This record gives sequence, structure tokens and C-alpha cells, in this order.
Amino acid sequence: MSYNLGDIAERLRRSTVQIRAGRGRSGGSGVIWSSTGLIVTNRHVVESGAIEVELWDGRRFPAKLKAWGRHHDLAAIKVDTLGLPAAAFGSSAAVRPGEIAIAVGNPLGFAGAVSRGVVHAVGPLRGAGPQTWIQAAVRLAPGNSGGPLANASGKVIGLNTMVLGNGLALAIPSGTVMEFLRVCEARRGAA
Amino acid sequence: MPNALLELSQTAAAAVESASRSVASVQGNPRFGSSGVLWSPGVLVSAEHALADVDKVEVILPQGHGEAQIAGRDRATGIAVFRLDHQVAAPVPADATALRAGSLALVVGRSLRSGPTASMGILSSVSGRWRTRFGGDVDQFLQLDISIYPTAEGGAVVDAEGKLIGIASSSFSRYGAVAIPAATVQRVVDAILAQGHVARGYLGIGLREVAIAGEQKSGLIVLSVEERSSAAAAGLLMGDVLTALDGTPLRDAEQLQALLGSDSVGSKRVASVIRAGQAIEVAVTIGTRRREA
Repeated sequence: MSYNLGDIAERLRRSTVQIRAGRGRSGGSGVIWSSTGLIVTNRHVVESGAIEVELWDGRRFPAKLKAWGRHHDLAAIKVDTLGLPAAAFGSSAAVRPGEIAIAVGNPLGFAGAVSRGVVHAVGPLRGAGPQTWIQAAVRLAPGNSGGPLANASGKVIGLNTMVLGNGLALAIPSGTVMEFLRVCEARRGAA
Repeated sequence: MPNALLELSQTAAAAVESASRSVASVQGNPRFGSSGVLWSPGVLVSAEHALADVDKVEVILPQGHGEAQIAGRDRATGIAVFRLDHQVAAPVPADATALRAGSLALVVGRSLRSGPTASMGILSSVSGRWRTRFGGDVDQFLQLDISIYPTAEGGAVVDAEGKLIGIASSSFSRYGAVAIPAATVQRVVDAILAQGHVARGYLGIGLREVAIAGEQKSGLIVLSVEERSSAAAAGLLMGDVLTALDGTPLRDAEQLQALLGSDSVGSKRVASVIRAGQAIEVAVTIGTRRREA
């Protein structure tokens, strides 16, 4: 394994998908969770109808909505294929302000765009309830939603979800994302 | 093969962690908090422009809540100084002579709800002494390519080792974000703790911008002259129009303010004046504002 920003970004890019949903085909991003086709994204990315997923290599698949979060802007979708490059997830509990943060996504339709910055803060936001956010000083745009925020080892530490008025990116911590996916998988196992 | 990016990441996070031990959240206005640095035992320094008209503020320290009393504020350098019961040692200063354009810099603040905050970039310009548009005398021009979020105003600007470069400020917007160097902050702290304010040059005249004939287009018309002021002593009169001080043109009040820094007090200057249509020169000794204690 080699370790520079280019290599880390390339691996992340392969685990990041472009998502289009509904008639307007408003776009977003998603992160491949399992090689068997489970992808995690923001709920607001997939709310508006038929979902199509495009992989880094240009292959396109229809996707089914498997689960969505009630308390968090999260959704799990599934494409019917095998051998996908799943992303490596890291622990968001260990994230510290000042750490390097790397975002990959499809902002404004540019596939696989990479931006770099630092983790600004970790915690709840003033006037926005008790939910913990990873606040990152990373430049994002619409279309980054649902894409990965990764650390300097290329591990996914959060799911980019929105941008504040002052330009700070907000990501749902990977701990919350993994908990959501575990619940989804358990429910499927039981069904 | 070492992961250089990971090393940088760990270095930056460690610098933030160490600096954040002396960074407080300052609830200085009702809309949003700002940050401050535990400067020396019993003293907190913060951004002047982020404060409402208050004489005490709630602060959130790494160890918990507290209340800080304002000791003085200096608009010219954008620094406010508070007295606060704490025993945190002063942050380790960076070597000011070793700072170079391109050096890594981090802005460390503290937010009320989410704790320490960080932004990273570089010193985009490092040069000598400069004057703020309010006349503040600043030892070094340390420009940052970092956007300072409102909660981080007044926070610490540190190097990659977490050593203190200065106080984060974006109130001098013509220059974007800058670090007010630690040496400048120390002078302001010393002056405020000794006498409650930083002495500033003062003429004792009320002024207004006025159009004049010629290339300069505008000057400053004298609307009032305070009794026993340096302007009165120099014989300046109502209706005089100031056009320059020591040859530096005065087109607006800000340009005059910029010439009245603390180092101007007691100095002798020559004012260019238009009186009754005649250009004359008047010798002025810059005074200081008398404060009612």
C-alpha cells in the first residue's frame, strides 16, 4: 500500500458512487459499504423516486431503497452485483479537530472530485439538537451529499450531508452510519 | 513507506490539542460566541470587535465555566483584555523571527457546544510593522490564508508545534485574516493592566470630511476645538481645513486616525491647513485623551 493523497483519493473514488434519483435526477453521492452491493447515502439524495447508481468505472445499475433513517439523514440502497470495492470505515470516536479530512463526491456533476481540509470541530451544533456532527473546513457543493469524508489513512470517518452558511461541511459520524447499517443488516437477516 | 499525510494530520491534531488547553470560548455577544486565549495566570485575551458593550462575559474554559471581567479594550489593535481567575500557564510562544510566508498555521478556537475548533492553512504573507486602519501599531504583518469562523475570532494562531504565533483577527477586513503578533498583544495587555487603556494620539478637534479644490479632492474641516487640547494650543480654529500631517495627505478621518498611534503621543508634527482660502502650516504637538477615572 502506498500513502499519498493521490493514492488515498483514488481508492476512495472507487468506493464512491454517483446517485441519481427521481425525474429531476438530482444528483448525490454514496459510499459502497459491502462488496455485495449495499451502499449508504443521505436520505435526501434518494427520496425522489427511481434510483440509479453509477460506479467509478462508468457502469450503471438500478438500485433499491433498503432502509432509511428516522432520526438521521441516512439511507441504505442496494445494487444487484458482486465484487464492488467496499470502503474502509474508521472510528469517528477517535476524530480530533485539526486532523486532515478528505472529501470525495460528485459536486455539481463533476465525478470523483476531491477536496481536502481539516476537521474543524466534533460535537453538536448550536440550536440543532443533541446530534453530534463532524464539522469540517472542507469545500463542498451540492452533489457531495452522501459521499465520504475520510481521514489521512483513507478511512471513512463520516458521510458528507450538508454545508453551513459559513462554508463548514457537516458530516454524519461513521459511528452513527455504522450503527444504522448494522440495524439494517440485522433487520434483513431476521426477515 | 511512511504516510506523510497521516504524519501531517497527527502533527496538526496534536498541535490543536496542546493549544486548545489555553483557549476559551467567550460569550461576548448575544448572537454568537468568540474565542480567547488564557494569556497568563489571571488574564484572558480576546477579539475586541466580537464583544457587545459589556463589562463581564461568561467563558467556557477547558476545565469548565467561569466569568471574566473586562480590564480594557483596544479597538486600534482589535484586542480586549479580561481578568479571570485561572492558573493556566501562558502558551509557549513561537519564535517570531523564524516565521516565514508559507509556514503552516492553525487557528484554534473553542465553541460553546462542540469544544475545540481548528482551521488550517499557511502564513500567506510575513512582513514588518504595519498600522491598522484604526491606528493600531502592530509589530509584524502576519496574513493568513485561513478563513476565521466567527466562533474562532480571538482564538490562538499556532504553528505546527502548537506554539503561539498570535491572536486570530479578521476585523481589519482590508487584509483578510491576520494574526495579531504575540509581542503586540503583550504590549496591549501591559498597557491595559497598568492604566486601563492604550494611550492614543489625540488632537482634541471635531472633524468632518469636506470637498476641496485641487488634486486631493477632500480634506477635514474643523467643527470644534476642545479647550486646553493640543489643537487649541497649536491655535487651530473652527473652519480650518486640515489637508495633510507631516506631508501625508488627509482625505478622511481614518487617514488621520492612522497617524495617531500610541507612538505619536508627544511628537511634534506640521499640519497643512487651509484657513480663509490661504494654505498655511501649523506646528502641533500630539497630545493624549484625558480620561475621567
